[in-house]
Amino acid sequence: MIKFICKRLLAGILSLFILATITFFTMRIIPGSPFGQEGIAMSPQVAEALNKKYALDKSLPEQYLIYLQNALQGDFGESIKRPGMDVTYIISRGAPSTIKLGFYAFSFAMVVGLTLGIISALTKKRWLQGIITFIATLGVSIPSFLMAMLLMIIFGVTLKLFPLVGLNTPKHYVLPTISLAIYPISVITRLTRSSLRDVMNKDYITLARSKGSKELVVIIKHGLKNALLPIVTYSGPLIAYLMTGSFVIESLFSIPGIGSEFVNSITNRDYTLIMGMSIFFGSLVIITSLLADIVSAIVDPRIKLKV
Amino acid sequence: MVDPIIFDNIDNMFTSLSDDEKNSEAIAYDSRTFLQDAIKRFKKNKLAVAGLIFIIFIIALAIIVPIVSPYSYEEQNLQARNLLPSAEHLFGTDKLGRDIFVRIMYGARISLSIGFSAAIINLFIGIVYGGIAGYFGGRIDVLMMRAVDIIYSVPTLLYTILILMVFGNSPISMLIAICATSWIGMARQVRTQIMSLKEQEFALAAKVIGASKRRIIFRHLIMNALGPIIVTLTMMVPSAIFTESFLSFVGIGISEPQSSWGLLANASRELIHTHPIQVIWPLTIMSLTILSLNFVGDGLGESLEPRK
Repeated sequence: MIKFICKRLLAGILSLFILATITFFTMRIIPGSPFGQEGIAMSPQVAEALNKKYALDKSLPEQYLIYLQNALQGDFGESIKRPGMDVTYIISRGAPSTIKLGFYAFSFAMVVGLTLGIISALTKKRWLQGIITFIATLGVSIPSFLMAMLLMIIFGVTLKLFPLVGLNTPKHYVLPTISLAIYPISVITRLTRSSLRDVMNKDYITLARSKGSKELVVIIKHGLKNALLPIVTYSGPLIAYLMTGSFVIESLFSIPGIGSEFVNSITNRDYTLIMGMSIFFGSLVIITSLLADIVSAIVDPRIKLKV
Repeated sequence: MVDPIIFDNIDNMFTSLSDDEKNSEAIAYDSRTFLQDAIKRFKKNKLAVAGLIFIIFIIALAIIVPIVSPYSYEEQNLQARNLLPSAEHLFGTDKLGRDIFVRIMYGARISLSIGFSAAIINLFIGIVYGGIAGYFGGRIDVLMMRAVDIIYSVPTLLYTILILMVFGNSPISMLIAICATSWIGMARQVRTQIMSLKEQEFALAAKVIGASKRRIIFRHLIMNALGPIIVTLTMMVPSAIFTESFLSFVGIGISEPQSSWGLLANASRELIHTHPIQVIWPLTIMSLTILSLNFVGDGLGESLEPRK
C-alpha cells in the first residue's frame, strides 16, 4: 500500500514539475515583450525597471530557478495587465464562486447520474432504457457550452424562468449547475449502468438472493456497494472536468470565478496570470486525481495490483 | 470374376436425384468478405446511417455553398443587418449584414477540415507510438507509457491554450495545438490492441517466416487492429471539432473575419436576448453534426467489432 502511494505521489510531483517547466518556457517563447503595447513607446528606463521587477534581465536558467522558487512558495507574481494585483489574490478572490458552483454540479451529477444509471441497469422496460441511453448519448456528445446556450435560450430568454447573469440568488445557480453537470451525468450514468449490470450477474449476488435476502438489500448492500468503485475512480477526472469546464460556463453566465478570470487572462494576454492559473488548475487536477487513485486503492485492494 | 447378375439390377438399385436435391450441396450465397458483413451490419443501424447521410450532406453544403452563393463570408452590408430568415438570406444576416447561412457553411469548411485532419494526424502518430510501445513491451513500453501518463495528467486544454499562444491564431496552429495532446488516446488504444494481438499464432507465424519487425507491426498487427482503430478515429473527429470550437469561443482560435462554428457561437452570444434566432443556427448545425459523428462512430463500433 505504502509503495503504491509513494509511486503515485512521485508521478504526481513529476507531472507538476513538468507542467511548471512547460508553462515557464512557453511563456518565454511567446514572441514580443509582455510590456509592449501598440502605439505606446516605452522609455528605456521604464523598460529596464520593468525587466528588473520581473527578473527578465537575468539569464534564462536563473529566471527559471527564481520562478520555481517563488511558485513553490505560492507566489506567482502580479498581473501584468492589472498592476498591483497579485495572481494569488485574483485566484483566491474567484475561488469561492468556482468551488461553490463546482460543488453543486458535483453533487447534482452524482445524484442524477447514479439514479439514472441504477434505473437503467435494473429496469426491464425497454422504453425507459432507451430514454436514458438517449440522454446519456446526448450529454456525452454535445459540448457543454452549446448545452449552456441552449438552456439559456429555452429557460432564460424564452420562458424567462431563470436569470442569466451572475450568482446572486439561489435561482442563479440553476442553469450554470445543470449545464456544467450534464456531461458528468451522462458519464456517471453509463459507468453505473455497465458496472451494476456486471455485478448483478456475479455469483455472490445469486448467493445473497438464495440466502433469502430481500431484493432491495441485495441491490444496495451487495450490488451497489461493489458497483460504485468505478464511480469513485471517476471522481478525480470529474473534478478536473468541473474545473476546466467552468472556463466557458463561467464566462457565459458572467460568473466572477477563476474560470472566467482564466478566459479573460487569455483574451488579454496577461502572461503572469495565465502562467499562475495554468499551474493552479494543473496542480488541482493532479492532486485530485492522485487522491481519487489512493482512495480507490484503499476501497478496492485489487487496483493496486494493476499498477 | 464378378457375378454379372448383380450388375444386371444396377439400374433398379439406384434412383436418380430430383433437381432440388442435386443442388443441396451448392453454396447458396456468395461468401461475404468481412467488409461486406460490416457494411450490412452498419446499414441495420438506422441512427448511424442517418448520421452518415447528414455528415455527407453538410460536407457537400460546405463545399458548394460558398462557391455558389452570391454572398461571400466576409462581405458586409450595413443596410441589411440582423435580418430574419427569408428567401434571400436563408438563415438571415448577422449584426454586420453578413449572410449567416454562408458563414456557417464557410465555418463548416474550417471546423470540419480541422476535425478530420486532426483525426488523421493522430492516427499516424498514435499508430507509430502505440505500435512500438505495444510490440516491444517491457522497459520501452513502461518508459513510453509513463511519459504519456504524465503528459495526460495535466488538463490537456491547458497545453492547447499555451501552444496556441505561442503559434498565434491560424487554422494550422490550431491543428498543431489540438494534435499535440489528442494523439495520446489513439496511442493507448493501438498499444492495447497490439499487446493482445502479438501473442496470437499468426504473429508468431510471421515471425517464424522471418518477417521484419516493421512488417509484423504495420502489416500484420495494425491491420488486424483496424476495427477498433477506425472507431477511435471517428470519435476523434467530433472531439477535435469540439476543441476547435471551444478555443474559438474563448477567443484564441480562428479570428474574424474568418468563420468557424465556435466563433459564430461566440459572436452570437451577445445577441441572445435581442436576436435569439442567430444563436440557434450555429447551435443546431453544430450539435447535429457532432451527434451524427458520434452515431456513426457507435455504428462503426458495432459493425467492425461484432464480438463486443
